[in-house]
Amino acid sequence: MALLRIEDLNIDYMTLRGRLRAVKNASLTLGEGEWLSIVGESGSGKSTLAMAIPGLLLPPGRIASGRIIFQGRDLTGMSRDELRRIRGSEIGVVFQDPLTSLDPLRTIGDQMVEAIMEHRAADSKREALEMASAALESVGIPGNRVKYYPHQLSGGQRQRVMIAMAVMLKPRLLIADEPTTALDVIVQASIMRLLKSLQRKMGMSIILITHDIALAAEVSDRIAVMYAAEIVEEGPAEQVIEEPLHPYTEALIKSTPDLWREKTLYSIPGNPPDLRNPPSGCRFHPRCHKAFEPCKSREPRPTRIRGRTVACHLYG
Amino acid sequence: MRLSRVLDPVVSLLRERYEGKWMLLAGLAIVLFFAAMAILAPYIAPYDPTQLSVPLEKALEPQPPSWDHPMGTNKIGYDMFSRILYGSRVVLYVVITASLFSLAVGVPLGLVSGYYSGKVDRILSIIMDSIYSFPGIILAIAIASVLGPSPSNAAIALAVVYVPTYYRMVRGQTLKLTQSVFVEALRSLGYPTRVILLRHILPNTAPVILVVFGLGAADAILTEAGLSFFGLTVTAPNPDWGFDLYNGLDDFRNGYWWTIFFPGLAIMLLALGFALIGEGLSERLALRLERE
Repeated sequence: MALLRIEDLNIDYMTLRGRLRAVKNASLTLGEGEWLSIVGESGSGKSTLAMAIPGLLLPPGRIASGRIIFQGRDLTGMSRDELRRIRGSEIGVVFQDPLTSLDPLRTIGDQMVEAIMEHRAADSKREALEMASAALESVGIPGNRVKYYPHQLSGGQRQRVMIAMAVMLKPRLLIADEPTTALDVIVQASIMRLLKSLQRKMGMSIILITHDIALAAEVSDRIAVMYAAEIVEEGPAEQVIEEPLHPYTEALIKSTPDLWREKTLYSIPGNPPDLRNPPSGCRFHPRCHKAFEPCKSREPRPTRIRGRTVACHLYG
Repeated sequence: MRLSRVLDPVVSLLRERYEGKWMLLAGLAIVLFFAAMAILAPYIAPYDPTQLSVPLEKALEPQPPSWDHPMGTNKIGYDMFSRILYGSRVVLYVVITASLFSLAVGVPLGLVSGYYSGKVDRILSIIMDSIYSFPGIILAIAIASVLGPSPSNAAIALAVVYVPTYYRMVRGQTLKLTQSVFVEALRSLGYPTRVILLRHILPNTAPVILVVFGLGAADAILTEAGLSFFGLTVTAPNPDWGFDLYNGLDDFRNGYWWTIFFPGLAIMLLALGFALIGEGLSERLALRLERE
C-alpha cells in the first residue's frame, strides 16, 4: 500500500485581486521508503503542495478540493488537533533556512525535549533528554551539544539539528523544503548524504522540494516536475533525467550549469506565467519550442506512458 | 530554574560591556534612588508633610532653603523636602501600577492579534488605534475626572492611556515572529498554539516589552504630573509633585522659586531615569540586531 496518495489536489490563495490557484489537479503517489523530489521554479507551487500535506498552509492559502491519503487516512478531513499530533511524530518537516529555524532563546536540548514531551514520546524529562542527545548523535553532532544555544552552531550544524528534531520521533514521511539552498555546496552534499542514510536506516519516505534538478537526479527514486501550479511530468528519476518526455523537463535539464559542457548557459525563453491569469491550453505553450496547434486551445491531460505520467499533447 | 531563567539574562546584561550601557546604569541609579526615597520616606523625612513645620509667625511666608529645611517651606509652612519624599510614593505607585496594568492587558491582546491576524486583529487594532489617537493627557484627564481624584483612579486612567503602546509593539513583534521560520518549524513539530505563543513568541518579545516599559513609564510620569497638576491624583493637603507644582505657581511670581523648583526637578529626574533605562536597553537590542 502506498504511504501517501495525493488525489486531484487543488490549493487556492485568496488575494485582494482574486483567487489564485497555486496547485492545480495534483496527483502523486509515494511508496514506503521511497524518495520523491518535486522540482520546479520559484512560484511553481512545489512548496505550497508540500506544506499542504502536514496541514501547514497559512491563510490566505487553503485546500479547495482533493484528498491527501496518508497511511490510509485522509488528512484534509482531519481536525486541527489530529493534524497537530501527526506533525512531528508521523510527518517531519525540514525548512530552507536553518539560521532562523530554531528559537534563539532556548537551548537545542530544551527545544527537543519540549517537542518530545509534547508528543508524550517519553515518560520523563531525563528520558527525553537522552532521546534528544541520541537524535543529535544520529545526525553526526556530539550528544553533549544539547546544552548549546542555536547561535553557537554553524548553519550546516543547525540544519543537522533541524533534521534531528524532524526525525527524532521516527516519522514515516519527511518533507524537506529546499533544505540545502541556504548552505554552501560542500555542506549541501553532506546534508544530502545524511538524509539518504537516515532514510535507509529508518525506512522512511522523503519528499524533497528543490529547484535543482541535478541534485534531485542524484538522490531520488522518483521525480515530479511542476510548472505553473501543475505537475507536468512524474516518473522514476533516471528515466526522467535520461529521457525527459515533457519539453519543460527537457528545458530544465538543459539549463542546469555543467562545467564541462557549453560556455553559455541555456535559458528558457520568456517568464513563468502570472497564475491569476494563466495562458489558455497548455500553460507552457508560449515558451515551448515544440508547441503546435492543440497546445494553445486544449489543456493536456496527464497521460501514463512507460511507467511515467506526463501532461503534454505530444503524447496523447 | 524558572527564576534563573529570568535572572540570568539580567545578570549577563549588567555584566556585558556595550556602548550606551551607561544610560541603563544611570537610569537604574536614578530610579532606585527615588524608590529608596519612597520606601524610606517615614524614616528620613524631617517633618510630617501635612503639618506645620515652622513657628506660626513664619508660616505666613515661604521660607527659603536652610539647614532646617533643605528645600525650604511652602506658603502654608509645610516642609518641601518632606513633601518631595512622600510625593515620590504617590508618583511611583501611580506610574508603576498603571504600567503593569497596561502591560498585563496590552501584551496578551498584542500576542493574540499578531498571531491570529484576520478579523480579531482588525477589531482589536481599531479599538486600540482609537484610544491611541487621543492625546494621552486629554484622555487621562477625561477618565480621571469621571472617576474622581485618588491615586488609584489616576492609575486606572493612565493604564487605559498606555495599553495601546504595549499592544502595538507586541502585535508588531508577534506578526514578525509568526512569519519567521522557527515558528513554522515549531508548528511542523506539532506544537499547540498555546505553547508556541507563551513559551516561544512571548519570551522573544520580552526585550521589546522592557524597552516599552521604560519609555512608557517615563511618559506616564509626565502625564501623572499633569493629572496631579489639575488636582486629579491627590486632594489637599496630601503631597504630590505635580500638585505642589500647581500650588507653587503664585509663589514663583512672587520670587519664592523653591516651592516650584524642587517638585519640577523631581519630576524631570524620575522621568529621565525611566527614559534612560528604556534607551539604554534599546541601545543594547539594536546592537544585537546589527550583529546578527
